[in-house]
Amino acid sequence: MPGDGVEVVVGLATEIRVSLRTGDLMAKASNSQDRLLLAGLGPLRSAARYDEEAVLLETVSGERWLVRMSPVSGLVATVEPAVGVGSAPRGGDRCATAT
Amino acid sequence: MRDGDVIVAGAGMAGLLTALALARRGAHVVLVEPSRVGTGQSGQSHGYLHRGYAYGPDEPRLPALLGSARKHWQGLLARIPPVTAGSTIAFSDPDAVRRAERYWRDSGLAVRPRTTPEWLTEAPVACFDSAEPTYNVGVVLRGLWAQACSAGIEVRPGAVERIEASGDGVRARITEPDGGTAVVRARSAVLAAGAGTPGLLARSGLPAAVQLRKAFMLVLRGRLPAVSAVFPEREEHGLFLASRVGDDGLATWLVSDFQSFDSGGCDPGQLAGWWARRVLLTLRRVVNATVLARVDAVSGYPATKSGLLPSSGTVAHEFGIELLDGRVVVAGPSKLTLAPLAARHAASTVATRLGLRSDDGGWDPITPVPPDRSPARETWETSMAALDHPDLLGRLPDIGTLSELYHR
Repeated sequence: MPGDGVEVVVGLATEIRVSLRTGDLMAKASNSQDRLLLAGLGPLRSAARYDEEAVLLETVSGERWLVRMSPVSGLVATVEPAVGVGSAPRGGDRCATAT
Repeated sequence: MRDGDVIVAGAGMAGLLTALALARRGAHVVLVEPSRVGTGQSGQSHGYLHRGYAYGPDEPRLPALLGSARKHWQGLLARIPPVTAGSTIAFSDPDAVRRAERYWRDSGLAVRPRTTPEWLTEAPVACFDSAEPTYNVGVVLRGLWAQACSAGIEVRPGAVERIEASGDGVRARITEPDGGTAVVRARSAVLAAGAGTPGLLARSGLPAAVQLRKAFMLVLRGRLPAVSAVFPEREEHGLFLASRVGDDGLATWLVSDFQSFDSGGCDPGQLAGWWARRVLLTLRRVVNATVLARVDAVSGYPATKSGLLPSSGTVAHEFGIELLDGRVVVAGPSKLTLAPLAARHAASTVATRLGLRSDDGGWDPITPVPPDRSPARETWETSMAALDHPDLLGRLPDIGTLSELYHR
């Protein structure tokens, strides 16, 4: 995500960086290069840890999506509309950093 | 008493090539396939025969391996015309195309400068042509299947549920299509079951030698040009695009990207729809609008990627591993292009164990076989749920609608 300007770091089992511009989810691969976990669908209003395995994304148009990672592979396992899901229930765990 | 010299589990590209290589060395091969040929990874492939692609300096051994595999493909495909003789490699960053072109040339790969083709927008600003052909994999599978049937290979419909040592050989328990079980004994076995291999290894109490990843394919049908292209810039969302031409003369585009997802058993929710929407957005950026307007239907299917552990990913350097004191060989090419090398490795390992004659002659050229004379099909050739007359230039289908295409 070169030159994104704004990204959010979400601490799950591994550290995940979310570009607020593109919505892309990235993780550090074993060769220390960035690995694309999920290509985003456009700008986000916010990205935050939801629980130990999931990231809650909110688009600028107000859609909210729950992206769940596999604790085994570290890859995206499911994507679901976050219907009836509160925002970042574990607010204390939230680690959002503008870079 | 043995039923054969070697059991080959899986009649995909690697399994068929292994079975044929062993049969021509004089082995009695029992080929076990649970469903239609091409149901697994082989039938989900783009059909690219890579020569180097954009792996770049991180994969320094691949060009030589791909070059070695290419020699086998040239023999196999001597009678089969490619769908596209080369591929367009398109970048949006002019510096990136210069770096890639230089790397390819330095690796001994054939590249040709070219202007942006008409079917692309101006967004990809720099291109070159590679000598990477694409093939209708269904034609290849049908031809190999015909060869297997005439080579005396014993085909057993069913799934290998478990394999274990027995005497100085192996014993395979097979679930047959009617639900019955059978036991097949042989001196050796080759596991070329793709996505089925991890489960088979686990049920057999053997090491987890193969890892799986989930991917998706987007299928576009319409009055489209038969092209193949790679958009290697991952930061810009890189894509693969390959074509097939059906009996009606219309082209089908098979589109995927560099992403892979967890292959666990949980319901992926709307992941497929999310992925498909992202691919459509990227296509809209790189493909000329007049071409996209000709898409009559959108379909898709989930695909599996497998590779050997521990160093495999989507681009493995190794493609065979021996288990049970060499009685079992796991053949796991991470790419279709490498299937002949995986088959050659497996066949050579088994032949040495069985004391069979050496044979370095490769395979016979494949003769095209009409689809109605063979059960082999690529996934795109099968019936799929479709979204007809999609508006790919205006408001794209929503994620839930696209997900339905993959769930049916």
